[in-house]
Amino acid sequence: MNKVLLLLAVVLLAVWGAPSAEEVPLSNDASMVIGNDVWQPGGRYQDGDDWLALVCTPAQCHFEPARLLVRPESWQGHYDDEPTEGQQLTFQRSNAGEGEVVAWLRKSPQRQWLLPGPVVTYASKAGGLKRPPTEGTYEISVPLTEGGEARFVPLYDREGGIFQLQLRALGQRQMLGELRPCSHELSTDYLLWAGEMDRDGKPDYLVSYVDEDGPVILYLSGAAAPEQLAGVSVAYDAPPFGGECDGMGWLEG
Amino acid sequence: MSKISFVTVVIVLMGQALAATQPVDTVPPLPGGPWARSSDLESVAVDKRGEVTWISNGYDSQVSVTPSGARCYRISVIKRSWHPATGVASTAALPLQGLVTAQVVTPSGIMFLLAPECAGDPGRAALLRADNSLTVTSVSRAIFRARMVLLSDGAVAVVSVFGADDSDEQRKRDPGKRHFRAFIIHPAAGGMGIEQMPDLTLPSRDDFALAAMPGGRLMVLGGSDDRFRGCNACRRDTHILDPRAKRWSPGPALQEPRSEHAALALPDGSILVTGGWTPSAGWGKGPSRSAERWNPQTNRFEAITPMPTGTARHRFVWMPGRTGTLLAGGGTNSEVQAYDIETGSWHLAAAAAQGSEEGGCVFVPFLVGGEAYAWAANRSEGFYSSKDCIEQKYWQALPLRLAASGTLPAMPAHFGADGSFVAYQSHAAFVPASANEPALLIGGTTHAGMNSYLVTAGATAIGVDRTVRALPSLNEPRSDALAFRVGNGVLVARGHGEQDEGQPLPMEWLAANMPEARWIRVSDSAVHPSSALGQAADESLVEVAPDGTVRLLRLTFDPPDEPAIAASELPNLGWARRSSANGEEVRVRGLAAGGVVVAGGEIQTDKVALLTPDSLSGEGPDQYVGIGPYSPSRRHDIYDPVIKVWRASAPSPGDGGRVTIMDDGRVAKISRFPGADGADPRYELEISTADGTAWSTVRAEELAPMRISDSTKPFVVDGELFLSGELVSLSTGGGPSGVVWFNTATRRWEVLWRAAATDNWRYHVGRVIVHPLANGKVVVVPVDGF
Repeated sequence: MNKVLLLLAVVLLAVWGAPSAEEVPLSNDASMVIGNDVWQPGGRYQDGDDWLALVCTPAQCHFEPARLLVRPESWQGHYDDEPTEGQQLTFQRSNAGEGEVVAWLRKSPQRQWLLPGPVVTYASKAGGLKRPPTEGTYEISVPLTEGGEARFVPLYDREGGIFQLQLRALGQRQMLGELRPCSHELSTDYLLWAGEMDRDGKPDYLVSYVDEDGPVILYLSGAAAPEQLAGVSVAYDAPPFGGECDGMGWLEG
Repeated sequence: MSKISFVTVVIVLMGQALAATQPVDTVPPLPGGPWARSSDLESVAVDKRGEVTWISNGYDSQVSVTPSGARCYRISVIKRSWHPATGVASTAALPLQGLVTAQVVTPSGIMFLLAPECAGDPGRAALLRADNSLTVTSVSRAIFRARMVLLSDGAVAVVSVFGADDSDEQRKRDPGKRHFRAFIIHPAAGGMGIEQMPDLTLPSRDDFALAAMPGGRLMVLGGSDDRFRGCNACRRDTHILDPRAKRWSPGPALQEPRSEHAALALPDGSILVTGGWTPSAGWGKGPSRSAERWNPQTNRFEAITPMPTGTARHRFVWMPGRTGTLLAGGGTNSEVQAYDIETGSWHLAAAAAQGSEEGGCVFVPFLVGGEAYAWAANRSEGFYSSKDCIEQKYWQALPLRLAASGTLPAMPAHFGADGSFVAYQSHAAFVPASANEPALLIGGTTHAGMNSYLVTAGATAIGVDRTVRALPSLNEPRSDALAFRVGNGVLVARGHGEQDEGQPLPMEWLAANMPEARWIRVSDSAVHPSSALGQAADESLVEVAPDGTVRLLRLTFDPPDEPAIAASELPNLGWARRSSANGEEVRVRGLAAGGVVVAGGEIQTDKVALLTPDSLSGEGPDQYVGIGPYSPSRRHDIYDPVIKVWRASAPSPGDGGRVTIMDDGRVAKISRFPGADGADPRYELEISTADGTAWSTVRAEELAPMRISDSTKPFVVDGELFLSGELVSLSTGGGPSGVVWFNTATRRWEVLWRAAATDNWRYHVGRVIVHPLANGKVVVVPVDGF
């Protein structure tokens, strides 16, 4: 057998054990922020009232107008010689009422659907997450209005020693990102919101991979590639974590 | 030659025991005083009455300086005799002075070496004959740290490595000091002839072994030139001294490099070599239990059956009155290990409460009343001590159990008058006695000095008639094993090996009806080292792996002499269940109707799906495994053999705890309850119903005088429920101080055993009692539960 073909076969066999998750952007485009009074490196943000807060109560979620105030701030990393220049981001809700802010999203011409008012919501932390009738303790069932459900299934990759999140809906399965890469200890905190945001009639999801650091990703059905349920629309990198990340948590031993 | 007059003092010290001595009832207390001062009893003469004799020094050392400035050390030399069975002892001052540095028993008498009295003087060799005549002659060679070996032609070889204890710096300054020096002493009717031998120019420390060879030759085996204990640089080479040719020549290589091992010429001319430190059993892992034998026909060393337990710095002594039984004792471990030269098999003859990293000072086996014993005393090992035999801290008379050999019958040991026997095997597998079979203690660990414990392959049988018999040793030393009667034999499974690196050990099978009983490794039998095992009603084993998978393991014999395991699956438990780090173990028990109960330990209630090819394609159901933290178990799992499903019991009110499963499926559990307002937790005995639907709590006052705590162990023997633990106001500092039994007729708990008020927990490691119960049963019970 041709040596090149043989090598290719070996490589293909090897990569099966670690199926490629959704490619996650390493930097964001400054159009989504999670949390308030947070620091971000660089100078991408500017003051403005072109933001909406995704606010959820136990009963519903909605968008409401918000303003971003930015001030320069440096951050001294634990191992850095010099502090990193960046910005401290503070949001103000224009008519703050009940509910918790899940995310801050910046309006843009590409996101015409981003308007104040109610948002069709299938699941949110405020409304309570539902566990499917499976053995998986950390799985989440998202009931869809058109019937059926979407299900988030953390999968344990024994060989790789990691947890991968998988989305299952409408008879399809899609690998998302790696869960809890630092602590290696699961929870159901990963799903921040599920509903219909981009108004195409298909479910969208806001998923957090933050584990000391890491991204939060808005998956939109409208951004899905062929054979995908939802595609990456916006990503936000959590503020940098200054500590260590060298344990194996539940996967020790 | 001079005839000496004896001043004999007969001492019978009744009731005088050393502080740490655990006397055996049939043996009078050990004489104290000057006997403890004696040098190593490495070589003692034993007469027909069992009296041992050796040469020692008195307490009267004096230092003086001669007019020329030389320092002189004067100390009396004493012949000591002692009957180890009676305690009758005598001393006789010999008409000479000097420090006794070595001695050996020869057919002519006891030959010994005396260090120079004054700097510059020669040393001396002396021979004390049976008629008490004494011959003394000067020797010019160094005799400090010398060793004496009786050669096959009746001569004595004296070998030393002068400067063996010196620092590396000192040895560099004088390389010649590091070599073996030897001379031969020829006893003769009129005196002794000294014949110098050439040096063996091999740098060495004091960790080699010597053995006599046929033809009056001597073999030096192994050792090293490393100042540290262990086998960093130990050697496998041997060297042979031919005194007639006055020549050293290379000998055959040992199977393994060794240091601080033991070697002995056997009657057939072969040389037995055992233990010490080896590359695979070095300092921190060892010592080794491996053994080898030099075959004079092939001039090669051949590996032979290993000892039950590793040891170093030990020595061999023939069991008096029992030709062919060789005892290895006085080593770093606390054991006496017996070798039958006819069958080539080893067994554990006894273990003491404590071993010593420095080895033993005294190892004297003896017979009394038809039973075998050995006096043993450890060498002091404290950091600031001199590590000599003066500070001997622990004397013990060990009852020996000796296996049958050829026409020689087995010699069992017997219980003391207190109705118990102490095996000093901890973490041993225990098999309860049955109608016609003794209880068994298999494997475990024994103490080996400081905080060291060694895993043993030794096995012991304890009958309801209070006899203790040696069983053949396992092939694999193991602790925390589990053992079960299956058919007409015993099956041992699981456990941790001596070099525990997590690899599963195969099961071993001992058939009671085999002509030559020996343990046989069982094919396809390795189970997860952390699996829980129990026995089903049909004698097959139920294995519950930590991940909750369950297998039924059946012993098969096809062909008949090759036992193997046939495994079949049972449904998985609903969760992962494992033994907890604090000793709360998972228990498994089969019930009469085919049901199984799994209880105890801690369980993992969270699960996650595994990433598999199917989880990507969507074909097939997800495979779930346990994940996340474990919680103390409050439920047990009950297998229904009719519908073939596991169901969980009702939760017990209290958390976790040690459990036992009774014959009818009830679970008894020492449960933990949080203390009020941050106080320490309290513990209660809870018992489930047989169907697991409800729990009841036994009131503390009913259990008095047992103080229920996290160390209380419930266990079942012969259908009876027992608790091992601390009695109220009676502590042994870490071990149990009492055993209680629940009398179902009176509904009361009765104390079966209690420790003495001053006892240390070490006295009760592996203690087994035989006790009649009010219901007519006689039970064999380990006081630490099982």
